[in-house]
Amino acid sequence: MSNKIVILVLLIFLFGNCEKIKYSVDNPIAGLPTSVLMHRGCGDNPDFIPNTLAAAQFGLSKLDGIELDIQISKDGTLWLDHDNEVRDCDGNIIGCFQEMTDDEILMYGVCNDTVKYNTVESVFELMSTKYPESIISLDVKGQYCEILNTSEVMTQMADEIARLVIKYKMYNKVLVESSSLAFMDELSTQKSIGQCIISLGDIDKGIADAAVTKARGVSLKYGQEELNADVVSLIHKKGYGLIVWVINEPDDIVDVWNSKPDFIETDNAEFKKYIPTSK
Amino acid sequence: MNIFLKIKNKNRQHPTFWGVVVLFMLVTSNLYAQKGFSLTAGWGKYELTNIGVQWNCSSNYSLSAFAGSNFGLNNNTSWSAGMSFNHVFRKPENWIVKPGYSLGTVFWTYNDDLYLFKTMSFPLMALLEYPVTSFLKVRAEGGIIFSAVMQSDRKQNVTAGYPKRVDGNFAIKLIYKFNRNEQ
Repeated sequence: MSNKIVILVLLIFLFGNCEKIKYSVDNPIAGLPTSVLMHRGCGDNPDFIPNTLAAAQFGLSKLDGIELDIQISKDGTLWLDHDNEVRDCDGNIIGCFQEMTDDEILMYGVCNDTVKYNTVESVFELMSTKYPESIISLDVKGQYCEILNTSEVMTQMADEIARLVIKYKMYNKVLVESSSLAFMDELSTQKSIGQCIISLGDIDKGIADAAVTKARGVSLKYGQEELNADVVSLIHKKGYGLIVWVINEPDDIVDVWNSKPDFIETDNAEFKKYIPTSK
Repeated sequence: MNIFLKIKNKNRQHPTFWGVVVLFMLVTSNLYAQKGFSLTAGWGKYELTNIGVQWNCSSNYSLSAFAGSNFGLNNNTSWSAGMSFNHVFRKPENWIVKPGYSLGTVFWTYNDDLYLFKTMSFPLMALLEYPVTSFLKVRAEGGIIFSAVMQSDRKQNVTAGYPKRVDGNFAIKLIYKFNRNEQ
């Protein structure tokens, strides 16, 4: 019996190594020159409905690129919107994107001659013809109306993004931001799309999550932890790019710009006015 | 102030630790006469070197609480505190080593030159219990542990680490029962 106990103890000790902390291995990359993306297409410009084709056109005309929130319909089409619910012109909830067909969504897509629901494809078409050098970042929102099928829907969204990138030859121009493991996993083999895992402020969690999801970058909410050039260098040293959001105030613009992240998202169309000039 | 934040010298035990030990002994001395209580001492990957008490609800079920430390070894200072529910199967009766399982929570800290982490972990453990004498048992546990980081403070910008969200865990525990006649 005592032999069995000894064997048991040995097996238990072999069950795992003793390190509770997992350290990321170095895999250095060169950071990109910082690009500035207009948050939700139009930033805080009240003349546009955020996450629409018109908003995207405004953002593309002002900055290096745009960030847009996306949803998916029952037909598998990617639509622009922040919320998962489709609303009528009075703001009443009609249904959820993934439960509605494209025709049903289009029925509520125009209010007072203003289009409020556009497809991602319409933006890709615009960019490929008029703004081929611009960057677009797609914020993949949670599909909470069908929570049981989240993994399936996320995979479908990833496949559709990959299809559109190929169709419009948007190689190395598309970033995606998500916290969905299924979504990231589906795009993990795509080398021409910048998959970024979302971190709501914890840089170390972002790096750890990026390793787990095989992401190529971290999408970081600004303001929770100090961000400086050394921190960004650390993230690059570990092999990941960095998107920082949402930077609007002049002081923050200076601080974040000096930290040299790869991408900054802003609501401020005058962002570049505050960029410090190099000495 | 949180006592964990005070622990800076990894080579010397903080007086608070010995205070906790004395307090623990005073409290548990009053439990000696209580039916169904045991003292525990052990070591675990996440539980660290620990002492605690166990309330034996019945011959099968028990609840235990513990506090532990790594005594500043391996260039870090770690503390742990936790509780668990344990179920030891009494059948088959001819088995000397009794199998069972344990579920619980462990709050632990990790403080070294690189990081301070505060983490809540949830172990799911299989266990084997062997009665060494009528009042002393040894329990070996092995299983999986899920962790959620509550706080991470990086102290440098040279390397990046994070507690494993899912990990293997193992532990050994001695359980000393004061009333040997009680089941």
